[in-house]
Amino acid sequence: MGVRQSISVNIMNENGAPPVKKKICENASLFFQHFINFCRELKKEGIKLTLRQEIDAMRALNFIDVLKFADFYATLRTNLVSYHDDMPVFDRVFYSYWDFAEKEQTDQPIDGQEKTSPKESSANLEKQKVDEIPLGDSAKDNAEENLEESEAPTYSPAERLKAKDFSDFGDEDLEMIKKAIAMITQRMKVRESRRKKASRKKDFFDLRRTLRKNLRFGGDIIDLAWKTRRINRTHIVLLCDVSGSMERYSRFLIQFLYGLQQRTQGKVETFVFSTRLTRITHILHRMNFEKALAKISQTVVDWSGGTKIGESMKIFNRKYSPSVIDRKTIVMIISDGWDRGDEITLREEMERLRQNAYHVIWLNPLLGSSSYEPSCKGMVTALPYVDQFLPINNLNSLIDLGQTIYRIS
Amino acid sequence: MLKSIDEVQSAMEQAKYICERPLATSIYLAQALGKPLLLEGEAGVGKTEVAKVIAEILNTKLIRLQCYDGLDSSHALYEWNYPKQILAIKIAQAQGETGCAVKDSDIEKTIFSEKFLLTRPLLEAITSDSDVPVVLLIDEIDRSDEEFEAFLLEVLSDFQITIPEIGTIKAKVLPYVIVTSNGTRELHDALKRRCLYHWIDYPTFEKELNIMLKKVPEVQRGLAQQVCALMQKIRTMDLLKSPGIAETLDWAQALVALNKEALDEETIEQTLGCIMKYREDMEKFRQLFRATSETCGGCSPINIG
Repeated sequence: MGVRQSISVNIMNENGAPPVKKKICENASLFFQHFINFCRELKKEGIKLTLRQEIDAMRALNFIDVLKFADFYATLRTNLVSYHDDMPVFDRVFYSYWDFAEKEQTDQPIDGQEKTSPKESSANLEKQKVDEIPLGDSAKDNAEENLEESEAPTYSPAERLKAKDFSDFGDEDLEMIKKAIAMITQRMKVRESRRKKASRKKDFFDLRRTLRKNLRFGGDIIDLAWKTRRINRTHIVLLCDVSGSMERYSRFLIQFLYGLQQRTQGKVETFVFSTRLTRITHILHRMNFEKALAKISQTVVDWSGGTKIGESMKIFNRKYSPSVIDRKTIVMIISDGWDRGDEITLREEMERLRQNAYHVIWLNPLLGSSSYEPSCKGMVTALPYVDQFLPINNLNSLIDLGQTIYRIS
Repeated sequence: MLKSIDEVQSAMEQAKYICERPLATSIYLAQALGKPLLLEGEAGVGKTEVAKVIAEILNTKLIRLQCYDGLDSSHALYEWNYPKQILAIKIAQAQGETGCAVKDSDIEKTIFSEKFLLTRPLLEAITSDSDVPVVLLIDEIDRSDEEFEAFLLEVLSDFQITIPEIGTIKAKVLPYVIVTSNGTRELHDALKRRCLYHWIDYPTFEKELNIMLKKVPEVQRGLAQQVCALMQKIRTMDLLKSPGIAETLDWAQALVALNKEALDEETIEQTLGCIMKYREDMEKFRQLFRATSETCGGCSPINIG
């Protein structure tokens, strides 16, 4: 027990002064203070916490021996971490905040993968800023802004603007494109709501309501009740090539689809790939695309080593496809088709994808130019398995894409 | 009731579930705090088993809700027994014709009482009147759809269910809720934050060996080591479906049944179906096997592990 008494807490000083060491059990309210600070550190690093989680974590500490390092660690982790991806971040903050230098050696955390040393993980994940705006919110803001704007009859993206290639815009125009995209998706809502009315049909017999309705007839069934299919929500799976020049197109497409998703209440699952595939759906809920890319690019080893579409597709088919794809899912691949991977893999995986998905759309920014011929190896291999081959280089092509989605869903 | 982390760990061990300290902590706290425990991990790492073992330890009932796409409240919560209701109405009518009239409102009261209710897992867990909490296992939640998740969130936050015709039913004893997910789909944030969270990894060599010796005691130690070493290796391969602990145990059992004492190429070939479920995977495994055998000059890869 003697060893435990010497466990100390390392308080990070805001102004960079050397850390102050305090005895953990000296003062309960001091410990409470540290706990709050620790939660704050976690939040700074991008781990979202609800008040309830913090309170429960605090409550949980009453049930364990806080001086046992492994239990203290496991208790905080099970309460405060809700995503497996957040574990390295949690570990890093945990080890840098609570100084258990004098802990018993045997109390080391044991699980293999979870044991990421603080140094290692801080190399992987650079500090993120606090002021990250979740994509969902920003898209919503844009939508609200544009609701006002669209009431003013004069505002409409000019035709010239609509036809301008995304790569010709400067960085200062990005905000404007975002707004234009939000406006387009705002308009599409109207189309969707009309759809709801048209689909109201007597599709299914509703036994439950029928019996309820016919009680007054003493159990004889006279008045029938019907169920109808709900609006067919469009589920979209997006596979974005983010190597080299593709990044910008992917960004606008994601912006567009998330705007669309908010109107149609469908789901969008987003993946990015270059040499390997990463799922970013949940990251996009917390930060925007640029920051999400910055975050994952630190963990992906070979970011600029060319594109391996087949390999990425394979990861998708194997790991994610069963859960994110069903018969009504539209799969969109945005890539220029420059594939440095294996041709046979690409063919096999495209075939597999085609079998599982409802519709496969390949979006290629190069297709916007009239002289383009899909002659590169990757594109030639993939095309037979694609339902629609569309350009994605300007606002017009986004509008067309929106109409295509509307038509096929 | 489990009173400490140590108790959880030793009880689990007795029930032949090798449980690491962090998992034991989560299990203990789920009970102490009355929060659901969300277990995530690849298929076959023993998530469902946790719930079964807890039920066994607490000597209580395990109520299991297997999730699937399209699961709705009438399959998860309750449904009226319509044929029985119609029958009751008809009987009441017949009685009316013979003179002893029953009022319509009485019929309604009768047929919308608990007697005519088909309880589904969630309602069953809540209405359970045993003193020991039942274990409610919500299995593979990632296979259900988002609407069901939202519905579940509601049930899990106050453990009460409102049936319009009867009223609100509140749990007398909070059930012990274990939610499992294979992590194939991101769950709703609110649901995740409502739960304690634990990620279960593929076992280490030592852990898997331990599990095997406990679960398949007939297996010879040398063979068990070979099998576990090979499993570690297989999991680093690029497969359509990586084998979990369940597959390892199946395999060990098959090998015991065949009276094998060591792995050799022929044995592996005969029993490969226990651990590989896809033809492509088997093919890939054979290739690797052959390649390793050649580079090691005839020495089989099972001895390198």
